[in-house]
Amino acid sequence: MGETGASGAIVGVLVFYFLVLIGIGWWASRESRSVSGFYLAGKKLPSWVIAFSSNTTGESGWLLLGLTGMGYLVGFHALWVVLGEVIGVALAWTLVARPFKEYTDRYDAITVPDYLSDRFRDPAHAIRIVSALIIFSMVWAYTAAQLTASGKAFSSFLGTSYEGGVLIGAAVIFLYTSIGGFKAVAYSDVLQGVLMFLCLLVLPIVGIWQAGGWGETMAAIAAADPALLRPMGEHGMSVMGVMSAISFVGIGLAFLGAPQLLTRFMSARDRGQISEGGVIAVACIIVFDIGAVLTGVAGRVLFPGLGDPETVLPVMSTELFPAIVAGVILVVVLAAIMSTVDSLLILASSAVVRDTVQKVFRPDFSDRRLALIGRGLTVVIGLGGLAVALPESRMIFWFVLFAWSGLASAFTPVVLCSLFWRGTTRAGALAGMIAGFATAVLWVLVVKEHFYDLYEMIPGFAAGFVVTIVVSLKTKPPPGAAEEMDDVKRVVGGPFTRARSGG
Amino acid sequence: MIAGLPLGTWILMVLSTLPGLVLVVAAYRVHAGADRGQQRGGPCGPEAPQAHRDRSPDRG
Repeated sequence: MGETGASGAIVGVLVFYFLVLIGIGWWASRESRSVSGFYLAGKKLPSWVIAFSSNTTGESGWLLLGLTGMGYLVGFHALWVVLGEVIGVALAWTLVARPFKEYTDRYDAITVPDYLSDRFRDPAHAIRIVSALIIFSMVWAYTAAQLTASGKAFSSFLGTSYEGGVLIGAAVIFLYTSIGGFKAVAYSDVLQGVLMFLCLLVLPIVGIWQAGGWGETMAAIAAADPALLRPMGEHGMSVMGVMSAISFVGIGLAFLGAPQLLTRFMSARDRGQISEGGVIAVACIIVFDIGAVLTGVAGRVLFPGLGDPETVLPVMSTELFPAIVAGVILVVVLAAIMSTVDSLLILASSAVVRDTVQKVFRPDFSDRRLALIGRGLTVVIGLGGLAVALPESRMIFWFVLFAWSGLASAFTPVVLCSLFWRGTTRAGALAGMIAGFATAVLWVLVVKEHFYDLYEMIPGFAAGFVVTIVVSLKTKPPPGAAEEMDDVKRVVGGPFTRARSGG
Repeated sequence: MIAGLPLGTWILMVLSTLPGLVLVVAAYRVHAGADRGQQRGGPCGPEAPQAHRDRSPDRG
């Protein structure tokens, strides 16, 4: 097939995929006419949808371009990322999801700031406003980085201009997200998740087979650099090696409390979906992550000396597969990007519409009017990301990790304390949120390069927990919160103990 | 070396996958029956979540 024919096949696959996404948006639009429908699909989603949606939202273009690049660059040392993510996902579904779902159902909450505000009886809306500001700023950065990835993916697969790639990706995401709301986002995540799953199952197998099989691949890696095979990588058991492993594990901690992931638990039809969803989510994340690392390792043997390790997946797909399969793999890369951006747009839109407009300024606005504002805002926030991404093609995946850690450091320690420690207070939650976020940001800007490149999530989490606990100890918990926590525990049970009957 | 990889790498690979799977399967085995009871509204099922809604003081 000539170059034009190959590009035609890729474009054909791409156009078909975009039409399917827009179809999902149109199909879901009936559910999105109320605020709860637009932001949580009316809390009616089954286990397999929330499991795939949670994983694909957590795993952005970073999984396919960033983690494969990491496997290429550091070899099996990247397995520490897998360890952190699998444990993070497993703990989120076993520890966090059930009590969080119960609390948010009791409060009729549809956003994470909604939950925190009710949990800490915050009539002044301070928690809402601080949460909305953090979410808004981080989503902006995150969206811009993902749109950058879209531009890079289009230009590596199709040879389009970078700007053209950014614009095409953005147009499709804005369209189906603003039409169909959370339901469209969640069901398109399933489609995108299945594509990612198949790609990361097949690509390493084909890559290792092309490199001569498992034994040959490992021998070639050992000949290139034996450190690539070792768990502690090139630094071994030194301080640098240990800090690097801790940083990699830290990436997965965000699954415990990042707001874009917690909303998946809220949208579940009932608690039964959570027990099933956990098994699906963990099985899926294992295939995602191990597949990405092994793809990078195989790519190192097949295509040594790549200038940018993050291009290993596009290079492998265009060199090893016929054009139509390369087209499908481009769709998978875009799927990973889109499944994250759409969720973030919905998250940021909810932070403004639900947590600011409806709850603080205009409680008199009708549900339908607010949902309409939500649709418009989704596009406006996306345009903000676009304005950053278009002129800045050098924005790379550390920006994704930064936004990922900023959101998680602000919310995870506070959400965990709010679910499991009766003594958590409103002042503690507010201070912990600010401290976690500020520490993550300052760590990147000032400390990181002087402290073994330790990932900002670790100090961000530590500061969030310490400040939440210390300030809570000096202040009083909200009235009735302890009894409420006991009741929630009685109704949902522990992670591995059944709920007490007679509710 | 086992199949071309150091033992430590195999241990890391097992630690990366098995404990997570064991956790979610254990939780599923504990809760699945009770959750089905809740969906059916059976006598042993815990209270439906809706029954608790709007308890927080700052809701009208």
